[in-house]
Amino acid sequence: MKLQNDQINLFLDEASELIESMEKTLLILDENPKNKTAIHDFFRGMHTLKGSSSMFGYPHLSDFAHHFESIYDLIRNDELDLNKTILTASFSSIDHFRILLSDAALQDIHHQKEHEARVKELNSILKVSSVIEKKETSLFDEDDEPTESTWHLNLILKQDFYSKEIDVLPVLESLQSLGTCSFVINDSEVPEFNEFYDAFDCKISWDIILVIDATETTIREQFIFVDEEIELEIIKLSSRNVLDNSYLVNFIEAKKEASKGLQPFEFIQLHEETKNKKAEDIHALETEPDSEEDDHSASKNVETMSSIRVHVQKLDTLLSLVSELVTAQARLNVFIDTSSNNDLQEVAEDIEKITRRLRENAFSISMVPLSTMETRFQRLVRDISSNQHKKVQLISSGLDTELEKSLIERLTPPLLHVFRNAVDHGIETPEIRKAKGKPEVGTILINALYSGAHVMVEISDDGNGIDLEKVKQKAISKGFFKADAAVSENEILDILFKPGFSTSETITDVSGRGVGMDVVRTALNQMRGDATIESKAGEGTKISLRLPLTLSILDGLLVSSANQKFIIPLQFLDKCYEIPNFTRNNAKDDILIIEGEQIPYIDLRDLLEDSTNRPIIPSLVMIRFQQTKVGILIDHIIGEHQAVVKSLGTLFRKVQSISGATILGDGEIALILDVNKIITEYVTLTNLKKEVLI
Amino acid sequence: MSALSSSNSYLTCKLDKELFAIPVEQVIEIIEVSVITKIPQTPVFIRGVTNLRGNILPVIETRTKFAMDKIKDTIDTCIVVLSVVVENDEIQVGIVVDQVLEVANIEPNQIKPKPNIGRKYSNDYIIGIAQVGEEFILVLDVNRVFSNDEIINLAELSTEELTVS
Repeated sequence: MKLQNDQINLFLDEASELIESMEKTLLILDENPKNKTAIHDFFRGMHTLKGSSSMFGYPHLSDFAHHFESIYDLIRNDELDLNKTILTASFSSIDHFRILLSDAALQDIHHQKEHEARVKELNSILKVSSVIEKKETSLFDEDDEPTESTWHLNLILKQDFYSKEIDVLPVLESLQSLGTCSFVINDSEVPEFNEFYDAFDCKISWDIILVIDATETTIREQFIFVDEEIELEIIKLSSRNVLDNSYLVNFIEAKKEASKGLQPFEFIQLHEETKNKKAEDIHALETEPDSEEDDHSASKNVETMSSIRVHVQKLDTLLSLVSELVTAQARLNVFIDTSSNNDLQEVAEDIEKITRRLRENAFSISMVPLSTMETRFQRLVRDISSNQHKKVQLISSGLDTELEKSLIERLTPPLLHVFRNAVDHGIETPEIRKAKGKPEVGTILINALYSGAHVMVEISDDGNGIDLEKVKQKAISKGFFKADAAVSENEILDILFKPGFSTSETITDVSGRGVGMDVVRTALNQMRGDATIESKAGEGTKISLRLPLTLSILDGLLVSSANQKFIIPLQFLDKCYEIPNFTRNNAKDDILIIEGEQIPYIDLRDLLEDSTNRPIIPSLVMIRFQQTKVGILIDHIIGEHQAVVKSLGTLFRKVQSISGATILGDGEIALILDVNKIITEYVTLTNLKKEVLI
Repeated sequence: MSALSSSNSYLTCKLDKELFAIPVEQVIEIIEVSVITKIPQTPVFIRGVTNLRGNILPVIETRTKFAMDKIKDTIDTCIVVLSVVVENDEIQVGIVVDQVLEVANIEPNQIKPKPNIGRKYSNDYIIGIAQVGEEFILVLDVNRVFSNDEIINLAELSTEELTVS
């Protein structure tokens, strides 16, 4: 059976989803090891994984899942207690499953070693359990023989079989003596009687379901005398006796009646389906108190049923087509404005409406809820806290908030970093918490919400908080502040985001938080977002991450300078001013006095190297980034503009002040100013100048 | 992409007093010069970007790049849109030429190695010289024009200059 590539891809997709959902289930079990539903879910997941992976040629994976299945089979039959050791083994094995998916043949030597270690671990768990088992239920020893496995044999008699006068019956009989055997004959290729002309021409094949305690070689040996006259295909269906499943027995009986053979694929499929049915029957019988969760998983199933899988590439194409449509539509608008044809205007308005709806719709397709990341958060918090013997609970709310998929991917590393910090340096050990009068179990809260065109993700903990005074002292010693300078709380906290302020050795004793916060802020800034921090010493810390809903559309202010159009992102906009009597004083720093404040500014005309025909009254757009305010001197303000962001491409990758471009309605290109970079560049520049002056 | 045309067909165009030939395989289309948006902090030989049916096309000031005198655009000036490879990425780039002439057939044996002296501008981007009738045509190696160090490093240089000033 040659498998198509896309079938394997489908299997891989499903398997990784399965692994993820099992990880989720494990997290539930971690909280409540007695949760029957979760144990069953896990067992079922493992079983499905085992079945499908053996079908698609992942023997190690299948084998590994089998061990697991055995353990959880014991657990679900109350023959083994789900203890911490098993849970920890399960968690690390979940990771190992992912490795097995990517490296099926264990070509990487590290993977191979890991595999051996994991199998050993599982075996030791099984050994311990089998000792208990033997003590308690020695009667069932024979029945539970784990080496007994189910095979499918497809035996085809070659055409010259009859002419050689060999009898196949003794062979089949000898098979029967080996173990339980079910024969299904396939005579579909035997001609009808009326067209029967050559008795030697009939082709008969058998499908044999064999339950036997032997290897493939042993089975093959049975056919050694007739080897040349038959075609034999052997597939291992399951590593245990599956004929205890009455659905399957009925299925075989029905196939015997039909005499049209038996497809191993059908068999496995039925096995999987009925296996679940059996498990579900048990479910129905057990009216566990956690029926609420049952409802939950049921509704989840409905959700997955009503969605389809689409390749990301197709989605990207759709989105870029919609962007092009938006651009074309804006061009149409320019044309309509100058036209006096009413009918045409009506059509144009319709198209505008439809385009807008189409755009909203298309972008909503590419949105993914934050909850897709939840398992990873839970897992991280669990791993770190158990590592450090801390007790932490993670409470989440608003995780149905949706973000563009690419943004979620980019948000994950900084978010995980914040979580790591919270557990590592925020939450105290149970002893300390007790001494402080706090509940032993620390709480980390993740809350996500929409705020305008942005999404806020807040992570707060009730841990140690940040000691502002200590941070300030440290900042002074590192030269961030002058010793006698008056600095606000916010300014001190902001220091944590400065590169080079915190290192892991120094931070644990200074602030208890904030390792590598500059990395977090940089990542957020790259997504046109920001990170801020609030903290109270002794009470906890809250980190707020703000990011746009999408990267492909940007709200900006359209301005012009030297006949060229620019877009300034609205998120950084502070105020706009007209500057009458503007004179350029080249001798000094470029500074304007606005509302009594000295504001440094950047002249866009300097960037363009064009100072001809400057208007008499230019405008100044004040942008604010963190604590820095910088003015941008331009010729005219045109108005607000929703820009479809396009990249400038490889050639202009190194251009610092421009982050992209957009095509305006009239076909002209407006450049999008990278406000972050402009300000950072400005700040480093002034710092350089100051150093030179000193 | 090989530097020579596999079909022996070349688009010939004029820059200053010279004739240039570009392998047709690399030519996508020829467009008129429309509004070109300048990009700050880029080398002088980059004229800017223009809108090519909703896509952003970088435009190279070829005269500046080849160290020729800059002139005002004429009615014949146009942009040849090329497909070139920059850092393993195939991208589209427009180059401004004074005039596009024709598609000429040039056999490989007509192309002679480039001379090392006698030309006042940089000849790094030329594969060889072909004599067609009375005229000499310079065969361009367009991928060399856009080789890594040329564009990307120059972009870096210009930002440094700005920072220092």
